[in-house]
Amino acid sequence: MIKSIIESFSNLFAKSETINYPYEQIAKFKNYRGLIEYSADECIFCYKCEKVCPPDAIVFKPTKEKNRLYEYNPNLCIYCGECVRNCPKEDLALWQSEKKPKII
Amino acid sequence: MKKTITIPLGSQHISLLEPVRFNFSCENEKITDVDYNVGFVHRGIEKACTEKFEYKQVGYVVARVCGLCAITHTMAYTLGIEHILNIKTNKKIDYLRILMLELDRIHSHLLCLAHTAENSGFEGMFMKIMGDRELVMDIQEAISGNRVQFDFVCIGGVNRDISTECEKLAFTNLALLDKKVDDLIGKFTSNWSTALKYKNIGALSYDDAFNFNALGPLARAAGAAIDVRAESSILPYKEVGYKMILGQNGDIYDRNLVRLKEIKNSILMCQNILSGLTEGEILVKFKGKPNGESFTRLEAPRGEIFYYLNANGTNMLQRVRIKTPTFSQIPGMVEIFKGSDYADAPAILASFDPCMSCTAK
Amino acid sequence: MQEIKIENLIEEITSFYDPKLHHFVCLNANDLGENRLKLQWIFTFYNQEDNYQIFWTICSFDEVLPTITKIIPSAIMSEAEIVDLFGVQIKDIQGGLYLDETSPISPLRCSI
Ligand code: SF4
Ligand code: SF4
Repeated sequence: MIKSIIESFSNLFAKSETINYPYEQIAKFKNYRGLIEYSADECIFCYKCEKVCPPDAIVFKPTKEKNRLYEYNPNLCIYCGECVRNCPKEDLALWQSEKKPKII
Repeated sequence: MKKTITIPLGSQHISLLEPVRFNFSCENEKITDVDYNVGFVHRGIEKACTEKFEYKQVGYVVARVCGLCAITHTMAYTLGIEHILNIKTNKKIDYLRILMLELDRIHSHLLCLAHTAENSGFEGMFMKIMGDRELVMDIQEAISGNRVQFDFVCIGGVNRDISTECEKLAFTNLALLDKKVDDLIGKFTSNWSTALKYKNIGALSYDDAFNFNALGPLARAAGAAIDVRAESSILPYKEVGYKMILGQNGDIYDRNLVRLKEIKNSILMCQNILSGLTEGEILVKFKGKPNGESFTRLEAPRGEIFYYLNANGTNMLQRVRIKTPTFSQIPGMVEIFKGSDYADAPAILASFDPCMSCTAK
Repeated sequence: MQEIKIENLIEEITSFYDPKLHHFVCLNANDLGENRLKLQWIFTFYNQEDNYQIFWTICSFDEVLPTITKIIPSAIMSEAEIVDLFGVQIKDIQGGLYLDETSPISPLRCSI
């Protein structure tokens, strides 16, 4: 009984457990899994990333030119990183950033 | 004249976390019969796993069966397919996997305790436990890079190694949590609203635990030594300090205590793993397509989960069968409801920790 | 693994099952095509490592299967599930666990 009274009083002056977002930023951890980024210059067009992607977030669209066009749907992506792990030119052609998708 | 009155609980109810519907036939205060409907969130995941996704992708699909035990589902699937493909993983991979499983168990148990507290009318306790739960969520987020969907396990190993910073964070947070759990054990043994009024409420007897195939904390609270961690050699649980925790009466009070003590045991296991981790590969290379069948059991936070896989040498699996803990416990839950007061029903239900998205898949 | 005949199912399971020793995991069904359905009743032993006892049989979709809920009450969930997802008939077990009138009929059955 006495213990709980002391506890409730100390709780009155304790620091708040929540973060006052948007005024205070939430600390992010390193290596957060965010958007997938791509560079067409380095890509060798093996289409491995398209094949392994579980929700088909990466699609190569056929174009008139030789190479197909990379299309990435951040709203379908589950950020599993499977595409990056399977890319033969990991970190050059395809890498995982810490960015968030835009809110439309 | 009709003697009973039917009162529904669900599919939406203030005390419910998940869409489930119980129809209680009550005679005065007492529940005499229960009718249930659990299929509100059936998504056909078993079918999607065999028709839409290749076997390498299925691990990411089954993680979406349930948000709380995402890691357990992927793990059970991965262990099953590794058995078919004959992949042997090294010690480091096994330990990292157990680490994530136990962290998952800690935060799932904390969530359940928070809801038991909320259903007993103790809103402040709910907030406090959910706040403490963030400590574990933070560790998981730092290790896997995501807050809920960890996608940590893959066929042949794990996706990420654990960095020294993560290790440090884990040690500090687990030590903090350990103290808070000690405090909670005090509150869940001596407080009137969270502990004492729940003695002998919603009890499952030792014999009924076996007759109704009870699993997980529900069975262990009744004193039945049922735990897949002790019955399976797939993961080296004995090496990391696993201990079976048993209750006596099988009531809500005991279930809460079993959960709290299991959290303490899980914290100990995590600390053991973290201090004993060695350097090593985190991925084993493999070739070939799966051909054959496998049966995998694993202890999820709520009890045993079971995966049956059948592969026929192609990229697509022929059959994936998921059996989740709540699914086979529903008849046992119904049995407990019979004979208890209607007013206790929400609290009893919360103490079962039911997971409907698991049940309906 | 032990193959059984569907007529002997009840006797086999009654003589085998002891609630204190055996744990009923689930009833699993697998459509093999050509009107053949493989059923597996999966049991494990308490306090023994990785020890399974599996009763299996192959039946057709037209047969009315017996229910084991008299022996193992918790089997009702597995049985209701396969009634829903495979469209088999089990005595005294109704579907409607997951599916309702507007859902696809027996979705896990292969079309062949
Ligand atoms: S992270 Fe996963 S879901 Fe996203 S594009 Fe890569 S493979 Fe597809
Ligand atoms: S896997 Fe890498 S190299 Fe291959 S197509 Fe995708 S981005 Fe290009």
